[in-house]
Amino acid sequence: MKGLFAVAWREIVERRMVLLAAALLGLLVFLVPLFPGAARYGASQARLFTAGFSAATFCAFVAFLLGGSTIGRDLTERRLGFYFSRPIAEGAIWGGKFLGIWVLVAASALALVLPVGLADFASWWPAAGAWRTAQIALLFAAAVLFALALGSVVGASLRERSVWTLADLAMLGLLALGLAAILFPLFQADAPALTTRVAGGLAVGISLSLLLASFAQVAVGRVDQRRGTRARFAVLWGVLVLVAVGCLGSVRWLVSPVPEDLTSASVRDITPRGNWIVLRGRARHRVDLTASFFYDVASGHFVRPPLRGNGGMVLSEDGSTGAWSESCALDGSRQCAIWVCRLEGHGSRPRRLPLEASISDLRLSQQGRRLAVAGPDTISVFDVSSGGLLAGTASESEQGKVLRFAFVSEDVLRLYRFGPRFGPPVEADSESSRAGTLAIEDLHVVERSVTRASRIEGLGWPFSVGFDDRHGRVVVWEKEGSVALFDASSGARIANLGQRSWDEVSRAFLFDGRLVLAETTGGAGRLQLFRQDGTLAQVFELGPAGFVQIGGEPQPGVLALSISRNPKEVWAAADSFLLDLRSGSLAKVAAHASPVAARLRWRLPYIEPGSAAARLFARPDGTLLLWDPKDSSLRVIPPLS
Amino acid sequence: MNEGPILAAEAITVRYGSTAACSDVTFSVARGSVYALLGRNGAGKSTLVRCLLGQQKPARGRGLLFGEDAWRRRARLMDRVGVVPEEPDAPPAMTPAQIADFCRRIYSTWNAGEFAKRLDRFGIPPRVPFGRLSKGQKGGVLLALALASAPDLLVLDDPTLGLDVVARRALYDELVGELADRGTTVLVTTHDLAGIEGIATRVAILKEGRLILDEEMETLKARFRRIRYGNRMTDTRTAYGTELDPFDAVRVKVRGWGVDAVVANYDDASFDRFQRTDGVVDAEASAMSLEEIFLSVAGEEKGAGS
Repeated sequence: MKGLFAVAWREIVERRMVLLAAALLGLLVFLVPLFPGAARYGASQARLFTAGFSAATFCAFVAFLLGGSTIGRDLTERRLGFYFSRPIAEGAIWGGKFLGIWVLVAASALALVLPVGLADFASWWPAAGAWRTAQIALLFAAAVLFALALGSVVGASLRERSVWTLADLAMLGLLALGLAAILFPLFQADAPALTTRVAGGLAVGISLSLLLASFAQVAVGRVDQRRGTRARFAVLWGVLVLVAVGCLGSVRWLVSPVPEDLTSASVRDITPRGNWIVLRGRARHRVDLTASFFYDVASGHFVRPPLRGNGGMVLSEDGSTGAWSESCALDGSRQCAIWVCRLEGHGSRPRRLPLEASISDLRLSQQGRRLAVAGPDTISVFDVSSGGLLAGTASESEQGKVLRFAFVSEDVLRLYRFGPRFGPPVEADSESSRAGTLAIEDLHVVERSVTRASRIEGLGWPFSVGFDDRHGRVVVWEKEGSVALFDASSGARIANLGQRSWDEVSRAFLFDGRLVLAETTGGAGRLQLFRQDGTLAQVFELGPAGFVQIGGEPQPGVLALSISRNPKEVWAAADSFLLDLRSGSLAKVAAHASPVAARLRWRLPYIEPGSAAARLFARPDGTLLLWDPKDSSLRVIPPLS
Repeated sequence: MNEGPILAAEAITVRYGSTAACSDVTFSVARGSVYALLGRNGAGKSTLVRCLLGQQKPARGRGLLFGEDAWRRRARLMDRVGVVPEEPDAPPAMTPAQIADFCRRIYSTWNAGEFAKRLDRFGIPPRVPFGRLSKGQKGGVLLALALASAPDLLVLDDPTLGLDVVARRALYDELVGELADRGTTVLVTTHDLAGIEGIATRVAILKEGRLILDEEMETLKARFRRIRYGNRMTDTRTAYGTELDPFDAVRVKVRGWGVDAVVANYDDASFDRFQRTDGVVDAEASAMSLEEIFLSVAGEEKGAGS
């Protein structure tokens, strides 16, 4: 150790002018408030900022410069022999030089910030505190070490001026490509915390390789510059390649989670018949990365779209096809590319459609042959096999803005335009509050024409709509409480379903076209079943309830419900029940869970009895449960971490 | 105490690319000896010294210091070695006093008084940065540093390079004094053959990386002679050129007055017989200086001149 400290002390003594310059700079900082414009920030803030900025730049520059001169220059000017002729170990020679400069730079930083720090102590210490100050100091110390190592290696390489310098530059280019390959998937996956961690790991790896390379140059080469250069090159790029390969492998693993890695999951889309669902959730060991899957609840097969900032993921009605949009911006902010994938069997290789569009929403047709894409201004339909544009229309017109669209057949896309255009809220009791309209249009893909199917006017704004794409009907529920059933094709009112409280009613169409309304009054729940013509068929008393949500039919004639005792905790405090529509019996099927279909009614054109969409339940913690009609059991899918 | 050689080279080979700086060099330096390693510029002396000091790893072979591998045990072994390098390599910003203070911390033995006295004898100011000293003064500082740790082995790599006569004389005087006082073993590489001739006990010559001579100074000087003689044709002599056959002639030149030859295996009896050779007249043998021997062995001209 005496050798280490002797070398370190010698470095400090030899370069002590740096410390003096820093101390002088630290005093000059007190003059900053006298500069024009500085006064507006306050004298204390101006001094502190200048001192901090000066310390960072001065020390980074000095560390890089001294790092570059301390080993490289000694080697090229044959001065390292002085140390190797003494009883000092190689590690002590290298370590002493690094330690000396590191201490010198740290002391310089202290000399630069200490005067101002003490003078303005009251203005920064309460905000920063001891822990924050220690964190900054540690980060600074590590940054100085990194700058030193970088300077040492860069200095040695540039002074070498041989084929090894060219080789270093070539490897630097490869490293840049490697770093891009490592970080780009994380950028695209829109996981900033994970990206930061990987980048931090990379920084540590790079620092380590720089330090090891610098050490190897001295320890292995000693005074033999050629041997030292070879050692530096081999260690630097060897370790960097290992770090890069390790990071590349790690990132590949990080962006390739399987459904079993999910710690919580939510269902983003679901086939109205069949077993495929779109799962999305956080995966273990992946910080803030969100993983998405097309998942077959029956077989456990899955297809994972690459995590390139995938946005909307949709399924065709028959579950044969999946599609997703992908970001074409580095930060994943803009979705513009579309991929499709056949899901039958074990799934096919995803195929990118030859189209570029700005995408906000997607829909696949029943058999997955057509894809409807909502952009900021248009709704377009593309042919999945060729990628060709088949038809399109404006997403916003005088009739209102398209808030929902669904294929009613392979060749017809039904558009639901809500009017008026969104603007300031209107008074509920004013005349204009009844200005709401729902225009239903059909975009004929083959004919490339839009026909108006119907227009329902005079709706109290705001209003809510439930859809039965299968039978061409809608149920409209106005703010002031009236609920009515309409024919989507003609706009004709089929039936008035009475006055209902806006906050206490939910509604859903059954597969056969019957309408279910659930409401809570006086702390008790009640479910009304209407025939297709809107006449009341049956009423079921549900017992104590704060709010009732309607799911699908896990079995024909059996309806899944979630009943929450607390009307303010619609999902979190709900239990799931199965209501036998024939006998009226109500049985709890899952505690702290609610039917997934209840959340996806807006998207789904219908829900086939017995389908996965009807049998899935979700817990607030992200656990998904699949109900098995054979033995009325529940199993967790996928087996979450 | 290990009675083996203080310093040894075991088949050391060093390559710089395709060029061999040293090829299979083997020799040893006995305790108490002054070993002069000679060679022309680029012969590989400095490379060999670096290998022997554990500063450079040979491609093959190894250097041994006090019987231990110099590359592996360098740091520990250097405590017993004083080194004066070919190029003054001390930190230029440090004064001799600061350098001495640095060395004092790392050597187990350090004689600060001796160091100060030597600087005084050399006339070197102790408070002037090393970089501002003259070449001779730098050499003096490094010699003083090398001797202040009372080393068992002193390695001098061309210490007189660039020194004037006075500085050179001072250096050798110091060296002789050290030898007389402590009996330190010395390895010295130099081009100053006249200077080292009176001090060295053993001489080795490197030529193009190969060790072509390694011998006690006394033996070397005894077996090398310059022989000058006239060569006459007689009734019984019919051809020239065979009269030197009993000798190992390393250099032969035919002059107008006769033949000037250098032989490497001189002895008085053979010379007596040579003088009596038919046709050889006025033969005389003269002793050679180390420089003359070096020129004969390592110089460009070799073999018979004509």
